[in-house]
Amino acid sequence: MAVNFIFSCLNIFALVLLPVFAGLTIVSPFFPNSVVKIRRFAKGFCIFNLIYTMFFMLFINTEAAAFGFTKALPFDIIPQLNISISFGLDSFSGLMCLLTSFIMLLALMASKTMINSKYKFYYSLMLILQGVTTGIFAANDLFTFSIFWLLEIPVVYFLVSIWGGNAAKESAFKYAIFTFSGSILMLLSAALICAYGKDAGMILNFGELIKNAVNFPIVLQLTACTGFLAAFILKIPVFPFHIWLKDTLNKAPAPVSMVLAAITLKTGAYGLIRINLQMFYEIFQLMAPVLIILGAIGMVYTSYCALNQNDIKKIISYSTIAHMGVIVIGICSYTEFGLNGAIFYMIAHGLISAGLFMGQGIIRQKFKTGKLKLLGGISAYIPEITILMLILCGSYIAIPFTMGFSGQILSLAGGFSSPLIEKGFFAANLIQMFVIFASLCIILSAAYTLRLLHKTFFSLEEYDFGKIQLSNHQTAILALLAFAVIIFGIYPNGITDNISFFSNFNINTILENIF
Amino acid sequence: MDIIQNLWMLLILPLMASFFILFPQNQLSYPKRRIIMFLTLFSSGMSLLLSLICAHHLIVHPNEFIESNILFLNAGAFKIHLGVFLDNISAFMLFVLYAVSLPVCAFSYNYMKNEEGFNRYFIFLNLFIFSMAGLILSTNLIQFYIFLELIGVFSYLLIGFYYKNTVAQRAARKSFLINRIGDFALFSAILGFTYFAMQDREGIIYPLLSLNDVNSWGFLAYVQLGAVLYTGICLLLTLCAFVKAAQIPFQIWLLEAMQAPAPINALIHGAMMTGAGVYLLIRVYPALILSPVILKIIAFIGIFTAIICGLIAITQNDVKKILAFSTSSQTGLMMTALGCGAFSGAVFHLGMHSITKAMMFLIAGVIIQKTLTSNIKFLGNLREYFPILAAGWLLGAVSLPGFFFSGFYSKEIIISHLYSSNQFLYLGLFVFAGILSILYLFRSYFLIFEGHYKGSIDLSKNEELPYNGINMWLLAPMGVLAFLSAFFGGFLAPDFQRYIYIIRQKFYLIRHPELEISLFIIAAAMIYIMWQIYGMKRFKIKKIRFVYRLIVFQFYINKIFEALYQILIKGIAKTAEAIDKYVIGGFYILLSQIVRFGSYLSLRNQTGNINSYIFCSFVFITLMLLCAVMVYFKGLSNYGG
Repeated sequence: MAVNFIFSCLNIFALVLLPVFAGLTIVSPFFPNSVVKIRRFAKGFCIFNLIYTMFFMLFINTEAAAFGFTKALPFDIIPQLNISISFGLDSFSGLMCLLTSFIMLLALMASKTMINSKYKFYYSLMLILQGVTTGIFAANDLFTFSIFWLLEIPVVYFLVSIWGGNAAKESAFKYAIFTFSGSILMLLSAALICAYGKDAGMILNFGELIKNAVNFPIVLQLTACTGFLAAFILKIPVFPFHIWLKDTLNKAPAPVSMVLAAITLKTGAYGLIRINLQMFYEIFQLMAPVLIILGAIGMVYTSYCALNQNDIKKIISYSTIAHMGVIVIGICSYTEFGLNGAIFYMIAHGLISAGLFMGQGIIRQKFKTGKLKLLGGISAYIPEITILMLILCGSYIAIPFTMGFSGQILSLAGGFSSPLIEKGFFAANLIQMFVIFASLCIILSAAYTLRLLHKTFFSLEEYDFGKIQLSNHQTAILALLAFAVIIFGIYPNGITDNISFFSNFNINTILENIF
Repeated sequence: MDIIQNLWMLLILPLMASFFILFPQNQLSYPKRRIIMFLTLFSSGMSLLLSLICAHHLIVHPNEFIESNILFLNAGAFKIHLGVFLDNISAFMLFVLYAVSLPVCAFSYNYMKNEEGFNRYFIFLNLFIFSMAGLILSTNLIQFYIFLELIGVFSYLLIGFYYKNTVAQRAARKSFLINRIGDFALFSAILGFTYFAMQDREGIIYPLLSLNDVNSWGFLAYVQLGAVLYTGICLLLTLCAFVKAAQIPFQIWLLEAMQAPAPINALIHGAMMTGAGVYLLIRVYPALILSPVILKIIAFIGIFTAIICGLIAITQNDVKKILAFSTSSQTGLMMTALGCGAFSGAVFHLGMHSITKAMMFLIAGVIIQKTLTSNIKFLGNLREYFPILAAGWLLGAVSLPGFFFSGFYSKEIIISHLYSSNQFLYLGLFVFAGILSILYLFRSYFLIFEGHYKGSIDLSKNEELPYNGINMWLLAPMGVLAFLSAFFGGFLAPDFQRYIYIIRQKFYLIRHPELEISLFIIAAAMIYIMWQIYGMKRFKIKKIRFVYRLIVFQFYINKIFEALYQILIKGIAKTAEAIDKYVIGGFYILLSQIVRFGSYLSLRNQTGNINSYIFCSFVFITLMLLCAVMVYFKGLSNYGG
């Protein structure tokens, strides 16, 4: 009975739109203007949403072909053009939705002490961001996907520019320009496909597209694939387009950086898997080797950049780009375990980078600076944070039995044994050499992460100061993240079992069709 | 108990111990420290017992191996298995691990009792034992990599144990980074081997890269790759082994590691972590045999390290540094043995060296704790105050170079192998390295324990105390290790080569008394000379200034490394940031400037002058009309044609 009741309550429309409504409720004039009430409402709603998403995960059939859970009916908005709003979840997007609601809850918890003005607007924007991001992950056709993709940009823009640090407006503007320029190409591609689909009389949800997109005319495929790719590599970001990320992450307030690094960047990787890899795999295999090479160069290059930074947040921002390179290599490898590893690393990096941004937020809040030169010896002031940050940093440099390890080894092994090598588009072993080059990050990531750890937490001659009390919120956030990182590091099958069917099915279909 | 459960217990016990140590909150209360010590001793004692049971099982059932796997990571074709794998070699290594770790744990209790972070110390120690056991019991190369990296982590955490000490922290960081070079090499090798072992996609045998099955995947990779590339991948494996075994030029991390507490040096750096590098080569040896160049490289680097580090050790004045260089040197000898084909000799020497070196590190720790200095120039005549320590050190000094006791048996196997297989060059160099080890060990013995005491701490009150002021908790572990390093080798020697060997490798059971006697005489003469120089002070050595400086400053390897770090890491990092700022950032700025210039141009036209607007629109309309007319006529002509 109870199971049936819960099942009947699950609706993806509700999952996506409830956070938006909650956000609008907060900003509406009826809502009381007290900080505590706003915060508690937002947090309470987030907890509710987390549980709600967990129930979805229970009912998602992990062994269904694609979008196993599409209970919500499509809602036609422009029937003449065959355009509708429709949602669906499968195991992969379900996991990403779960990550979104988890990180969002932690970010709202972190906001308690880190956001000091315009509460109403802030909390409502955060909730709307949650809804919009869930919308991207749960979208079941190109139009819905593009709509939510576009909606995300102004929300993040406001979050960064209003509550950010010095000259935050400029970096937020950079973010908006970069992402918009990609999004326009993406919208064009989506429109092209919609127009073609209207002519051919097809239903354009993802399930159908994944089956049929291979049969589209080759020019249309090429155009659409390139357009989507442009949007995604600007968002992830891949190496030469990473300029916006370090500024935006650096200037955003800590909770927003958490959400940005943990979720918003992952939407790019999600799109890369969902659209380029699943639909246009035949065209994408021409671009994948280039992406692997760019990813590898970007990993080493940004790691070197991170080594030369003098601010904690800048180091973490740069290294985020490097770690996104692992995901790109995994996705573009066209192997089952590479894809598995990429998805695993998306979740792992979401948790770890959220933790690192939280940690640096605490440091910046307590010591009023993020400069490495001025910091030192924090281990004596706040030992709890030191232990938790050690765990998170250990995971960041892929220590075994933490989440970072499994994702990294799978992605890089995938890139190394990519079947694209056999196709001979590129000189033999070129991809392999670049993957080995990318795994230089094993040394480099350790170098910058340890530099960060030592300059902030240790390396002080005198240690006779009192302890600094943290609020329970802050310790709890880091502890939750560190706990999750260790648990899924020891038991990675908990995640890979969920996604293995997804990647197995997709890669096998792709390989059967191509090779 | 079933033997497989038995092996899993070896991994679970230290984990449980460290888990229970996490609980006591109040660090300083005395009884809780006893509980911690009891937990640790219980876990390592039980492990020792279990490892003995394993060894017994293998002796009763010869030529058997036991393997059990669990699936750690399931992701398509690339599955990572963790498991336990017991054969003769891993049983021997397990025994060595626990024979060293049990005394070290007992020693640590008294040695660390006044330190802040007692709990932390024992948690890390237990976790280290866990990861070392996991490494020894590895079923496949990926598991080996996992645990090798874990060992690096716990070594890092324990070197930086005194986290308020900036020097220790810097040393921890440096040694970890250098170790990561090895991790990178092994990771790349794993990628290569995985790919080429998985080429036959139909019949992948799990676990991937099984260490039980090195022959087959090594051969598969060899066939796929051809000799040159295969040698390249094997070179990566050996690079990892060189880094972990502290071979030149990577011996720096071992020196930095000397910042750790002495028992940690004894267990991790003297015995097990450097041993892990050799153990890697021992495990993948069947794959290495396929490429003879690799074996030559291993032998060459090994003997090179043994001689250079031996030379450096003679000139050092810090007890721990002498022992560190001695460790590098002895590990180099094991490498040489492996490279020359004396497989079982290398394994034997690995075990004996671990036990003896652990004992000597413990003695060094006690000396440092009692005299508060580690510089042997400020020591002397300690034999009078601590005769037990002197006896232990003498035992080590006699055993390590292979003069007597356990070390003798291990080196005897190697030397007789070299002699029988006519590798006289390596035999000569090997003997030379052995002589060097006699020199540095007896120099340190005479300087520390003979002559006049030059230290500032008054040691005379120790004479009345029981055991000369050394606590029983410190003394007993050293005694156990001393006993083992004296007699264990002799106990094992008769049957060792029968149990530990490698297929397709020649081994020689013949003894060469003439060789042994002559070497014995050389060694005795050397000891006599050292006694004359440092004990009796009969004559002084003439130093060639240039060479002496070169050796004292360790051939400037550290400086070179530092310079390389500055260039390869810092220099490129600065360049990269400059590129990021000016080239890539500049490109986008250029883009924005172009857009801005466009807007400037269009703004220029907004003059507000009605005449110019009319002119512009007139021009525009004319152009449009022109276009329309052209299109019209074009179309017309098309239709007309």
